[in-house]
Amino acid sequence: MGLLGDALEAIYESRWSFQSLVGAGVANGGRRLRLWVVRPDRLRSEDETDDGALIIVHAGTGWWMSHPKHGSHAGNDDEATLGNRGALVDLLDPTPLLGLARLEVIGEEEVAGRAVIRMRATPRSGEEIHAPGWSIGPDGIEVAIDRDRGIALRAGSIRYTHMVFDADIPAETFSMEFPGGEIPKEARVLPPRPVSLEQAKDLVGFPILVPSALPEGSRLVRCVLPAEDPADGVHLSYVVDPGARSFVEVSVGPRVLAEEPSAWPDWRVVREGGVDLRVREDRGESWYRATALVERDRIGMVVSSALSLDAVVAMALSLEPLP
Amino acid sequence: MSELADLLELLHTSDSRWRTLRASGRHWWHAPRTLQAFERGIRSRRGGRTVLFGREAETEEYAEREEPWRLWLAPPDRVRAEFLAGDETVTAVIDGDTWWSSSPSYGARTNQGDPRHSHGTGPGEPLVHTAGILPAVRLAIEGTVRVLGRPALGVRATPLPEDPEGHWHGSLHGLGSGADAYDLIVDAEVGVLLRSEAFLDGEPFKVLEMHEVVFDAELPPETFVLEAPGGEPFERVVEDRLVPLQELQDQLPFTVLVPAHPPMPGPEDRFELGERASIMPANPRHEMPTLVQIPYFAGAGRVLTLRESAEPLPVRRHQELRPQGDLMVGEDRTVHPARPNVRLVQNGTHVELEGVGMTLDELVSIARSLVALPSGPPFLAHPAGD
Repeated sequence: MGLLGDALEAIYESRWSFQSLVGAGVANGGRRLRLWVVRPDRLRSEDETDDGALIIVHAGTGWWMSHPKHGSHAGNDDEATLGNRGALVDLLDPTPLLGLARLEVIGEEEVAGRAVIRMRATPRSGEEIHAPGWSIGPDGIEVAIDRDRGIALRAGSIRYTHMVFDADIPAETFSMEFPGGEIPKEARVLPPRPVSLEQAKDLVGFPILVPSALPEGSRLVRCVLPAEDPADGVHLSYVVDPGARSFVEVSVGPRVLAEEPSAWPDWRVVREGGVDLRVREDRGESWYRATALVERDRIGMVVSSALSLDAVVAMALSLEPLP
Repeated sequence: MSELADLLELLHTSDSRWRTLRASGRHWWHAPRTLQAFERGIRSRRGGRTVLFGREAETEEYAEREEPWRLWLAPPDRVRAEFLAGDETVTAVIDGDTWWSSSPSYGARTNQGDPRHSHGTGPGEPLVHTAGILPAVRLAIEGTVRVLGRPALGVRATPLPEDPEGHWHGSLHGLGSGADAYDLIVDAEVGVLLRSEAFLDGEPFKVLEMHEVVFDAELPPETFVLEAPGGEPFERVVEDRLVPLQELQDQLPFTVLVPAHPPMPGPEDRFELGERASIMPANPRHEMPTLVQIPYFAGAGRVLTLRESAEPLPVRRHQELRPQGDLMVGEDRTVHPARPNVRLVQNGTHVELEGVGMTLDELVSIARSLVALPSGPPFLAHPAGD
């Protein structure tokens, strides 16, 4: 026994091998990354993406994110988990590889001025690894394990260029102030509000459209508004009796246009009755869903159902203002 | 090089240290503590929540149980396993994607190479795949021992508390989910576990151990051939088929009945649109005819299930039914709390309604509302009358 055992022990101990870390690194050939970590639950990650700086801060269960394209967000892991913790942070915990991968030593070298053991990590199952922080294809990847601290200093296209262990990191590193006093969008998953259709009419600032053509036997079983006030959408669920043998779901409101067109890459545009609609179909072994998206007076409407695409298009074209 | 490094290397590389394995042993567990440990394991995870079926059932209970097992492995993909399922011995042979198995209740079955159907290998296999536990535990070597005439290490494995998401929960399942600690005997040459004892609050609740193990023996080819008792042919396992309700009637030779207006979740309940049924193939061995099962999720844990067949459905072991007019009503006490049941025959179809979280009166009312499921998709209509 020798290097392999040393590397495995270093990886195994990596969870306890430091209390804090300040690091810098690169990803994908040149993207610069910075990371501050105080275990167990504080981190700050700065990532210079092509679109600008992506900053992520976690402190306990709270988190903040300043995204160059999606703006400022704040949340709490108990209500809405932010999966993205920055590219460098995953390298700090290679312990999943102890169980899921077959690790072989392929050499020794220095990375970021530190002695590392180069290893090949190949999925033990012969398929792929999708573990927290690690996605490895069947051919495996090379990882460079810090001999002393057991963390990965390089894995795939990400590597550390510099790091300091157990430095004092100012507390304010783990709070986020947004430029110009910007208030971040709160990423809270609040429960939607079930209401009657009549109540919905009074609570939204846009005309509610409902299909005037519905499958025989349809009944409205649910009308919900999103948690935010004022509500920017209404969601209606119909079942088709007897036996609730099918369903129709309708979403109406400005929110639909804000979310749906970019939510799916496979919309097709069709023209029916002089109206342009976007349509898409999903199918599995024992299920099918057709969806049609129409826009009227800058309000989006989406109809989806397990019924045929023709039926869904007909329902979408039949939308009329609620009397 | 530390003792710990040696141990980690031994466990990590165990499966490359032997070519074949033949082992037999026993599996002991304490049922109430096993359940308690499992529940604790689930609760310790973020958002952990589970629904347990079968607890406090009015079936024969046992506090402790001991079962023998036997295992033959010839990696990468040949396995023979003999183990108990309930009170019956199951023998299974796996060769690549194909498995064959035999047991008194299920007879001789095979998946004919269909990788969608896998087969269990009994309780012995977790002793052999030792690398999987490494991300999940902290290890402490407690000494050296000789077990089964082999040099071995006594190791205490303590599950890491830093797993709120439960990522590694599954890797310890075979050794006993939710344990506070495991006492392991690790073979010092090949790294398999010769014994594992799982503890909850200092009391053992699950023991897996080998009574015999032989490495690298030539396993005769017939080890991985299964002969069905009496030479009966192997029956291909047929899976239940999920069918959208709007296509269901066209696929069955009997009238499918559905509630005119099935119960739906309340406004505060999570809303799941089901609209699919399972067609379950006949199982002559259990006198079960082809049947269709239609579930309706009514929120707050309430579930209505319809089972329908062209032939009478057998009465289950813990099911008690009594006549009430043209219906048979009663309950199934296989689980606690007992589930109300209603049976009827309508349009030549034998129907059973079962409720979870529902009263017998509700079921009777729904049974009275059954109508034939229309064939094909519904027509579009204009409810407003235009």
